[in-house]
Amino acid sequence: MIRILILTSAFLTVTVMLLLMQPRAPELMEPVADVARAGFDPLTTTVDVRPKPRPNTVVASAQADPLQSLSASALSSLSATSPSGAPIILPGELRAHIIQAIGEGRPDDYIQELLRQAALLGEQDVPTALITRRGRLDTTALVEALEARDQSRTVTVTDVQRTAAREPKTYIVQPGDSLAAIARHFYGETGAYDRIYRANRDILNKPDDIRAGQTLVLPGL
Amino acid sequence: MKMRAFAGVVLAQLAFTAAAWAQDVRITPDLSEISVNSAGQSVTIRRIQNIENTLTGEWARTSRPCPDQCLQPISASDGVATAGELEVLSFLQNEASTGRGLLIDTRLPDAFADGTIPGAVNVPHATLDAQNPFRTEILRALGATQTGSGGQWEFSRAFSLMLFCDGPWCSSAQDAVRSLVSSGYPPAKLGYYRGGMQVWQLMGLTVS
Repeated sequence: MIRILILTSAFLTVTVMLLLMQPRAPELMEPVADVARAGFDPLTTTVDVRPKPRPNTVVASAQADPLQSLSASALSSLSATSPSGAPIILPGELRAHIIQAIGEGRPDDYIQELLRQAALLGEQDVPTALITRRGRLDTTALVEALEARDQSRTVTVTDVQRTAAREPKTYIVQPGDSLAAIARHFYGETGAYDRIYRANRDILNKPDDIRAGQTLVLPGL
Repeated sequence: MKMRAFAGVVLAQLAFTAAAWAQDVRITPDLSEISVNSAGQSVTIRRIQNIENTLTGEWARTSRPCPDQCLQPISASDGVATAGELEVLSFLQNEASTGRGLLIDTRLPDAFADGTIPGAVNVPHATLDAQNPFRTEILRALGATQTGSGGQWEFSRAFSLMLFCDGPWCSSAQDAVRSLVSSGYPPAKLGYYRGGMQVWQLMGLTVS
């Protein structure tokens, strides 16, 4: 008895469902197709309208290239396994990463890890002048240096050649100073550290080898 | 009389629930859980102890459409070992926890963020494809070294990898294995967990 009842009800359900579905099926198909077409159109127009990415901006190119953002995300996932926790970066992304890291108040060893990787990738000759005497990173000077990268470096060189002999100005190194910070203070750009370094070769072995109390000659001032 | 019957039913239910909870759902007779480091935190992998538990929703689906999501062969590539859950757990304990190996989720970041095997890192298979101009950086991050630019890759210090994706119907882990093998990654350093997220969860194992 129960079997018959179940069979009958199952048969009825299927029949009712078939009846309900059949006449509506074509009606349903139409709007679905419309939606699909409507969904594609804006996409293609967006692609046409989208402004061309500027060649030097990392953010724009990251948006334009899904593989790059996917790769960047993979690298950040992989870097979670590295001891300092600093992200692994793609070429061309260094500046954005460092500025972000500084903005987030990351510790120096985190930023130094970024620089180390950048150096490994051959992206950036990491200026040793940015390391202060205590081995700390001069972050302010670093941002300056990164910003100055876009500008021509030859300016400094010609400057040095033009300004030759005059009574040189001097500066006594304070604790916590880096050559780049001094350069920025007196010459307005961190890149000028090399100029100071070369003028003080007699007392400096390396650009990062400055000690508080040393008297540096500031050429051309 | 009615009250007593009711109390009896409640008691019986309680006893049943307690029995269900007390049931020890172990991984193997000798192993009930392992601890792994997942994104800086220690996560314990164990099985869900509720013996009434079933999968629901997306992970309970049986019939994903193929050709998009087709059944995968047991082996991803010659010389690459295929793993089950116990091998994945042992990989996490012996390779990943000692910094020699990486468990790799080859799915897209969204899927990874929704839940993955604890300790896994996300390297979508497309990033390992030879077409990806940034693959060099990924391979470096996996510990491969290159002699000069554009030179031969060297994998002696590279991580050993265990790759997985959604399940036995998902091709991205196999694609990733093949891309790695074609880049020169030694097959002996690669493993393929075919069960993926679906079988992992079907066994009631912890997802993070």
